[in-house]
Amino acid sequence: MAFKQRLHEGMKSFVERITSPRTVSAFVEKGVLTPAEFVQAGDNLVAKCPTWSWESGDPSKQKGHLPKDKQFLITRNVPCLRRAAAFEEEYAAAGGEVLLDGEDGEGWLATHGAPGGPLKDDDDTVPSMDMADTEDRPQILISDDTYVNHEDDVPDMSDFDSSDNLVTRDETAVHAPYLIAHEPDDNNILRTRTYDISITYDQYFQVPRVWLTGYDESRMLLDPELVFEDVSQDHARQTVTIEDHPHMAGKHASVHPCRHAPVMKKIIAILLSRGVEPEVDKYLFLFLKFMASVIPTIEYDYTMEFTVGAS
Amino acid sequence: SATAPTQSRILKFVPWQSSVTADFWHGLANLKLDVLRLDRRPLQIQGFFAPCSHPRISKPLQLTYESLSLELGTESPASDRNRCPAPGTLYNTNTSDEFNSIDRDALMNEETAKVWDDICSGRAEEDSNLLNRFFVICYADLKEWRFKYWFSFPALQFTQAVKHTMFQPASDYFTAEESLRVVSACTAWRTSPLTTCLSFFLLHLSCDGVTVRPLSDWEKCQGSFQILLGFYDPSHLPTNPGWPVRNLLVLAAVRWGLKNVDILCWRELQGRTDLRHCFVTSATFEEFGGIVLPENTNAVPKAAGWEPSARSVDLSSLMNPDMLAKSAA
Repeated sequence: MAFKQRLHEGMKSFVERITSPRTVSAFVEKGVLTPAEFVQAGDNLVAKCPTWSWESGDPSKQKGHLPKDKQFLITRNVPCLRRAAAFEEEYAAAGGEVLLDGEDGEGWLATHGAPGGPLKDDDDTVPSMDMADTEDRPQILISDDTYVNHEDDVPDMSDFDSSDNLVTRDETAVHAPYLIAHEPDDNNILRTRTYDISITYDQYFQVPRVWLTGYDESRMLLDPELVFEDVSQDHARQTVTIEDHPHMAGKHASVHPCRHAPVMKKIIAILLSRGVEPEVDKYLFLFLKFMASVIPTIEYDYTMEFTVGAS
Repeated sequence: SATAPTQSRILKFVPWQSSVTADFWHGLANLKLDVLRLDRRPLQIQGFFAPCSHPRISKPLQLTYESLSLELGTESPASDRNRCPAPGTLYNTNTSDEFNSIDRDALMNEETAKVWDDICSGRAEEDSNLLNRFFVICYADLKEWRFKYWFSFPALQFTQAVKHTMFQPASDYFTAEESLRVVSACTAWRTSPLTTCLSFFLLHLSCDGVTVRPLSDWEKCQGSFQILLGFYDPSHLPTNPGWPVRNLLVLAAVRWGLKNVDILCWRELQGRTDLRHCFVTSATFEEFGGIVLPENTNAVPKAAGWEPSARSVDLSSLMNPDMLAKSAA
């Protein structure tokens, strides 16, 4: 499996080297983007959702077909309060889900509500763009448990205990530094992970690609394998893979882009059939809404009040 | 405007959380292998943060690849509202023993003296980000791809704890009319590329309206209706401000002779201005021990700031080229 994946990655990067990036817009016909359209859609995302930023990343990894300062998009420290499996149980109980494109069993779920938001029975296959309603979510209480990340091989801390400059020795420091997510209903205590979510441009598939970098409750890097706990179980390990990030060091979890274009094309077709002419700079809002079906509990911001298309 | 007697309580602060990306360690490893080798000189780094933007989670101070731009000689990242810089120093060691035997108290004193000097000299008013100075001790084991590190965020301490009388949403503190002006002034400050990363400011209310100004405008603001001290608050708690306000209060006591002041804890909702998520507290503190001479280095106040413990991260499965080759075979 790992070998097959590497083989594919090698082939993909070879194809990317010998072919030039798409220059003709095929946004409506194929659901794909040119690099220029990716930048245009990204600029709009940054303008409308200010928690997103462009970054340039490692200069040695820069792609020539994108501006130097707009290599990829990122939003950092996005909370993920519940594991996806728990979320899905509730979702199923609340009415289930609809496959957008199910003929080959690889369809995408399209009718989830906002990530982590209230569960509602959408009869509309076009995702709604209203603000996530935060009122109905479980209350978060601060527990007294303090998470201390005990370091195993720093031998003896007793020397340091005499220090009075530790934050834990300071009477004016709040001594519950880590947020504990506490859901009163089922007494199920979960600690809060966060994610840095990045969107790169995949030249081979000509679509945006989402990467997830997880941090545990004490903001330590999360093993990418554990990211699967926060991914819809329908997609874990099939559509979410662990690969080298094109602009950052190391392995990161990524939603594999092989099915993105057909799904985006379908979403656009639905809009067109309703007389809405979708604009390319709204692409990432539609795209991120669709990603929410894969990562339902990660509360990133893609919400804005706007009408899709020129109307 | 409330005249009911209110009880004064100790103001407690939410400590910074550190967060380090794999990218940072990768950059540090390269720097050590290619340039530093066994050189132990302290490295000038930058941490990045933003005001809290989600009511249920605080913002950490994060080290990323760009944190090393001063040392790598790469371009510093452009001014970005989600990446306010904090100046830091990285003390790298060559062995685990060296890491464990660092005199952390001495280092803390040295770093605290820098903050104190920045305040006393007035430099912190010109460049308020200096108030967020931090440092890290580190041991990078490049054979095993393990990194051991310990952060400290020095916050100067008053001899008697700061008291406060309220901690309320800014939307309750300001009148409806003021609120509109405050939102518009703060949004202008946060939107302008020139000021978006200046995380400490003055909120100045006068008959002419509301303006947000840099700390260096303190003198110019005198005689006005009201001045609040503002800061980008990483804390999400509806009861406590974050760590950065501590050095700001010391500055206000030392440089401006204040004994009480109202503070605006600037927070956002998904990156947008929303006064229901900002908080105002009224802080009271002592005169700063009568210490005002910057030359008098013996008089550096005590500080707190070490994270509760050292941390270590094992990136062998993510980074080590040998391991990657093996797992691919």
